[in-house]
Amino acid sequence: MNLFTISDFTKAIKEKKISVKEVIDHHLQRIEKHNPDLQAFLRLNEEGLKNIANFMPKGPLAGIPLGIKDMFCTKGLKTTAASKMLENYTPAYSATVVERLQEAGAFVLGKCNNDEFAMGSTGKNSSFGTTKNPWNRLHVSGGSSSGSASAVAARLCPASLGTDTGGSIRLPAHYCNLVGIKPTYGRVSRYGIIAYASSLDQAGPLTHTVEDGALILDMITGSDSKDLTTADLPPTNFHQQLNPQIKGKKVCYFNMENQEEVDPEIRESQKQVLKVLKSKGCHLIEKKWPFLDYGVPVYYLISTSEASSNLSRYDGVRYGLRSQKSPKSLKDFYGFNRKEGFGLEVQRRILMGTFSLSSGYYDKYFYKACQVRQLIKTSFEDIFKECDAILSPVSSTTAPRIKEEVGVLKNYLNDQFTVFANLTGLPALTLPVAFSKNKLPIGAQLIGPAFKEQNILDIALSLEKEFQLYKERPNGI
Amino acid sequence: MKIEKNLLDNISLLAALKLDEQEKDAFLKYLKETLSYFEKIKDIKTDQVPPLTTPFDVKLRLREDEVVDFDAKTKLLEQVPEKQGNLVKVPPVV
Repeated sequence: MNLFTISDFTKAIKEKKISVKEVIDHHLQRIEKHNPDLQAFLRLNEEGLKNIANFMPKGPLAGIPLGIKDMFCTKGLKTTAASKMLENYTPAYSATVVERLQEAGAFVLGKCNNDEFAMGSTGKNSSFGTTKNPWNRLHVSGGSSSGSASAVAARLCPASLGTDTGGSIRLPAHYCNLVGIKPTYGRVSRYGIIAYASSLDQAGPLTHTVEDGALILDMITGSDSKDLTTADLPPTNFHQQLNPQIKGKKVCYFNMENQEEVDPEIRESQKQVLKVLKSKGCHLIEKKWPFLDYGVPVYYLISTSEASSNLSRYDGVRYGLRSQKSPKSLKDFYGFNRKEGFGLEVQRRILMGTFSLSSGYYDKYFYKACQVRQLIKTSFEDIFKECDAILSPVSSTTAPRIKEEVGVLKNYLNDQFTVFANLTGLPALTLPVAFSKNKLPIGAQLIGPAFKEQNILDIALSLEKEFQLYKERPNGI
Repeated sequence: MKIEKNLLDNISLLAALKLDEQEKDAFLKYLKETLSYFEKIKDIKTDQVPPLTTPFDVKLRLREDEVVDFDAKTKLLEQVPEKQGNLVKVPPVV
């Protein structure tokens, strides 16, 4: 079967060339074959599969099986955040976005692996195994939405849902030759998403094509009475309005010549993208990236602070891991449960956040970081007075090897180009633009003005028509 | 900035993480290394700059204060690690 995108499957279902059951069986067979090695899915929706005979879906996503990152609560289906803390947690409700996808006819196929509590850029921080990259299984698929990316790239499902706090959708999309979209903060409800850093978290799709990404996005956007940080806006209609004619669009880019940490092949791919944009009639404007060296420090100080607060709810009393050790005090009781439940990186970030919020350090770290965040946001708003979109690399390198150990700080710098969209709340996406000599995918990032996802979707569609890399297939897949 | 071990004692207590001495040493090393990099933000002048804590101003919306039934009480109780009847059981700590 050479169908692999959402539009491939919906068309075939509509034309009765394939039944919904056949679509789901096709993906189950692929999961059975590839998942034991890739570790993209943590578990399948067994209960839903048992009742598949009664599944008569209607809607724009009718019959489309989706992978859902294990950060989204799914009613009756275990949701662990890839943490021992929540290893046995089964939510009594679903995230709003999951409900909306189901209402649109999609089938939750299973839950995808991720870095524990979405903290990481490689997938190696999962408590349940490292997801492999289908393009080269010695390499990571990226994080934190590691399983969501690997599953789509390996065609185990046509699309998946991820979360993006500092680049967790866009980075794995870059490593895995996918389109990954982080919408504007407030576009998509966070209700029922396990919180990491609430002022930065957003949910979005990972897909093969821009068209598929826009379709999923349209199904999950719109205000939600259960999340007051959602903007008071109706669901979007990006898919129908997609337009690859981008003549006259103004695109800002940053000169990467002096960014020595950026892989030469990635710098070259940026040049190629600029060439295409120029040939399509875009106006290109060179800019200096504002506060480039400060994004990572500001992001980590703020995200760890928010995480230390958000994760304080895991105490092992009403749900979550309960240590078998005998505590002598209440502090011991909490301390044992949390020490045994959280993995190393999560503990690091909780400690960092607790430190930056603690008395005597708050002003110097957390408060200062929030002030710099304000300056960063203003600078990006200034850039968007002159342009419709910003082009940049997604990261400095292609997918690193699983065995490569580079140190914590260097890992944090994987996010140096992606954190800005989260700090400013702006929409951003990754789309495939090249392959390295050793056949690892290279993506490009487009950032748009607030609530103008259409800008970057249109430009991405235009580039996709030129590069057509979504048609490439990993060896052995 | 100098971060000493007694600081980590305090932080781990606040974070409710029971760490042994070896772990405290490792975290201390991590904190020193990352903070020495993060400290570069002090170079930026931010006098009078208001802090940004959320990307966009939230327009508060009001809704009717209605009771909405939640029909999964037993499902929630199933998540409790240890219980007696419908009560959450915790070990004696005093």
